[in-house]
Formats: sequence, C-alpha cells, structure tokens
Amino acid sequence: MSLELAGVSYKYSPDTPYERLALKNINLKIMPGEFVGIIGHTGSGKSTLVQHLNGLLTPTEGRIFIDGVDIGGKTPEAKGTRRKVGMVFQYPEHQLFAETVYADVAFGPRNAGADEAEVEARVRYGMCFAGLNYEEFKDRSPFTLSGGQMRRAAIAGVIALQPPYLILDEPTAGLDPRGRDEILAGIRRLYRESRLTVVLVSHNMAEVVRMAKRIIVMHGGGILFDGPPGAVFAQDQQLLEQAGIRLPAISRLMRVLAGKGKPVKPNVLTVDEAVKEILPWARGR
Amino acid sequence: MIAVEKLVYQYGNSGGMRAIDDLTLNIKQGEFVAIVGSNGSGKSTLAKHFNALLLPSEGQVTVDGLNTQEKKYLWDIRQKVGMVFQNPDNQIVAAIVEEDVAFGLENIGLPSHQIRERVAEVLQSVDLWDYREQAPHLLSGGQKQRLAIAGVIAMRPSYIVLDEATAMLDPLGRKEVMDTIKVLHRNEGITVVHITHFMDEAVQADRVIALQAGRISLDGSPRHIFKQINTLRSLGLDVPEITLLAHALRAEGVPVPPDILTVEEMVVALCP
Repeated sequence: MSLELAGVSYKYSPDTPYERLALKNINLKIMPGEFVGIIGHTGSGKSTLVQHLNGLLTPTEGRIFIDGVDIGGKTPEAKGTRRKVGMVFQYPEHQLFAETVYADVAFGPRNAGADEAEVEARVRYGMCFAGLNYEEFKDRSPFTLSGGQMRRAAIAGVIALQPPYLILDEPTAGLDPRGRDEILAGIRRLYRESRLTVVLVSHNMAEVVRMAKRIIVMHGGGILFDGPPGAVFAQDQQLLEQAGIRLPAISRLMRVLAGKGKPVKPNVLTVDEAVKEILPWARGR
Repeated sequence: MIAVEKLVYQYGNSGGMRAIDDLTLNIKQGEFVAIVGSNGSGKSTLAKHFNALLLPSEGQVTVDGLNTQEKKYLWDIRQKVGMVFQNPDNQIVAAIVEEDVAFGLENIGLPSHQIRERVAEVLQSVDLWDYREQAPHLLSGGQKQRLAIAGVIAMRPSYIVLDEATAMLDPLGRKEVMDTIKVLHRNEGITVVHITHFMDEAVQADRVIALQAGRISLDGSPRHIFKQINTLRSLGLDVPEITLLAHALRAEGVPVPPDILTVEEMVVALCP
C-alpha cells in the first residue's frame, strides 16, 4: 500500500523546439497515513509531479504504482485505482459548474455510481469537512459565494469522493489570511480524523512545515531534499535560495542569532519556539 | 494627487451592498501606499476607481484634478494611472516580449524610433532586456508581471496601481515584482498603490491603509499599523511574525521595541 514513482521522467512538448525535461528520474514512495509537503518555485516540477499521481500525465519514462497497481495500463483495475487519488487543483473554484453547491459536490459520487441516499451522505460529509454548513449552502449557487467559500465548495467535491489519497496543489493561493487559515484548519482536521494520506503542494514554506511531517523540495525537475521539516533548515541556505525557497522570517532570525554565537538553536520554525530559545539568554544578558 | 471624496460604490442597483461606503482618501504624488484588507473589504473596488474602470455611485474621485466621471478626461486619466492585475496570463497581448511593451505605444501613435527607445528603456528598468525576443508564455510568473509593469510604465504614467499583482506568484516572483516597483518608485518617482494580502510586502510601503467593509479602518506608517496586533487580527489580517515575536518577548519582560518589523531590526534590538 503506497504511492510510488519508479524512475519517472516527463518531457513537455517532446520532439519540438520547446521540448523541456520537467521531471528527471524521480524515485519516490509515499506511505499510507503520511502528510507530505512538496515545495519548490514555479517551474521546479512540483505540479507536474503530482499530476502523475492520478494519471493526468503519463510519464515519458518510468512507472507509477498506486497500492502496487501500475496505473499506466488501460485495464479496469488501473482505471479504478486512479480513482483512489483525489486531486484539488490550483484555483479549483474555476472548475465549479453546477447550479447549486449540492449538485456540484454530488457530481463525483453520482458519477461513481452511488445511490441518492449515499450521494447525500457524501455531500454532507464533504461540505462538513470543507467547513461549509450544509443547510446554509446546499441550495446556493456556487457563483454567489466568496472566493474562500468557492474554494471550499470545490474541495468538498473532492472530499465527497472519499479518496484514500488526497493531493492539494496550492490550495490557499490567492486567499486572504482568514480564508487561508480556514482551509488549512480543514485539511488538518481531515487528516486527523480520517486515515487519509495527504500531499500538499505549496509555495509557502511556513505553511508546509507547520502541516507536513515530511518535506520534499523540488528543484529543476529533481528532488533536492526529502526529510522531516526540522532537517530542511539544516540545509545550506544558499542551496535553498537557489531552489527558490525562502525561509520563514523566524527561521532566518534564529540562524543569524546562532551565527553570531548566541546560545539559541538555529532550526526554529515558530514564534513560540523562538521565545523559548531567546528568553533564557536574553534574560541572562 | 488622487483625491477620493465621500466615495460610495454599490454593486447592482441602488439598495445593493455598499462595496465602498463613504470613503475619503488622498494619495499624493510620490507616495508608496499599500492597501490591505480581507476578501470583500473593498480593496479592488477602490483601486478600480483610480483610473475610471469603475465610477462612483456617490461622491467623486479626481486624478490630478480631473474628475473620473467626466468622459472627456477618460484617456488622460488612464494615461496617468496604470493598472497591473492579478493574473499574469490575462494581460499579455503580443507573441514577443518587446512587441507586448510596444503595443500601447503604437496605439497612441508614437513615432517608431521613439517606440524603440522607450521599449528598450522600460525593459531594462524591469530587468527583462535579455528576454526581449522571447515568447511571453515561456516567462515565469514573476517575469510576466514585470512585463505587464513594463507595458504600463512605457506609457509614462504618474501612478501605478497593482491590484493583487503578486497573489499568483511564488516567493521569488513576488520578490522580483516588489524589487521592481521599489526601484521605479525610488528612481523614477512613480507613485505606487500596491494592493496585497501579504503583510511582508505591505511592510515595505511608506504608508499602509487597511480597509474593512468599504471603509478605512487604519491608515499610517507600517510601524504604526503593525504594532496594533489585536486590531489587525480582528480585521482578518496577518501580523508579521517578527512583530509577534517582539510582543511575546516584551510580555516576558525582554526590552525590545514593540514596532519591530524585520529580521534585521530584531537582530539589532537583541544584539546591540
């Protein structure tokens, strides 16, 4: 049981002047129950990578296995297996289409052949997890919702499919801080309460390190780093900056202080941790 | 100066929601203003009044004394106030970078040797000269937004309004755009109005205006604004983490100033 990429390479526009190698021999295994954060700048290959995980893109070379099944095949088994991966795209609200939130969220489960009672239960489940009150929103047109609400309606549609693997590509891009915090809290709750595997793709380092247990840094179509959040900060800062990763302000501060010989840990992520590190020293000055 | 006087804007018919509700504001030549606020606070609606994309339901907006409601001033106002929008892909019209910048200049009938000079000048000032013969769709997000900025400043506006122009960019792209507009502001004296959700960008402005429900709730220097942690939170806005750290340390009796905004300032405060 896992998501596995074995020797995956991907070329955009092969055999044209625009040919570009977007993924270079990626080997990666994600186990059930993991919460993986993927960071990297635009063009690093992170979106290309995740689009392979449910068969949206097929690798130029290499194979992809979901729970041991090669999803590249045309067999019913390969097709069914691809459905195990739920994908929330960038700006998912652009994909809303139905007349009501209910109809939009229900589309997936209905398509998957659920009966109406099951569909309703799935819609309630999806909306609840996305933080949309069922009675209040089910009959509203998705196009009258605020940006954050539209985003949540789109996420509800994916959650309603109850995929064992959930992939979110920049789920908070363009949202205001409140909308962003609501979405992230929803994802955290979902992860805690179900036994879901989550892959979160983001530009935002601070966001990813707070949520994920494992961080993958993509750069130039390859994996630059793969390990626990704390260890990302042990990396050479220049190397990270080349990969387009900007450390959170708190981490940068603690690095500077440690570099000046102050008795604080350099790899700190949050304000609370920073206070704990700084206090004993600052009081003793 | 952009002068906004008792501006009201209602979407739909009268009786609809007031997206801007009796708002008065002056933006002077040479300022660098950040406008912040949660979704639906009226930021974009306000910005679209600055170059007559929207017209007031009540009150008035003038740009260097020209009233946006008078049709005869429309093109003068649009020339004075350039806009850059959120989605980089929606603002590019040509298949080659330098042609994209030239588009507006051709439209106003500038002689071709002047067009060439000006295109070269603005592509250098946004640091895209090396990309002048590229296809825009092959540029990164940050480069595309810099191209959009180049197209705007080629028209020699006095004001540039960026309506969440960094929202779709990655951290490096955001930094590129911020660096570009800071240079334009400093070296060419262009007035900048930057609408953003990112407080680390707002910190770099000279003046921050926070909107809520179509009204101004805070207006002042970043230092003055960002120390009001509780007010910012109630507006649904972020506080820079370094400022949060300063407050937490002060609460524990460590004597650091309450209005620290950057890593460098915190280092100085802790290691004098």
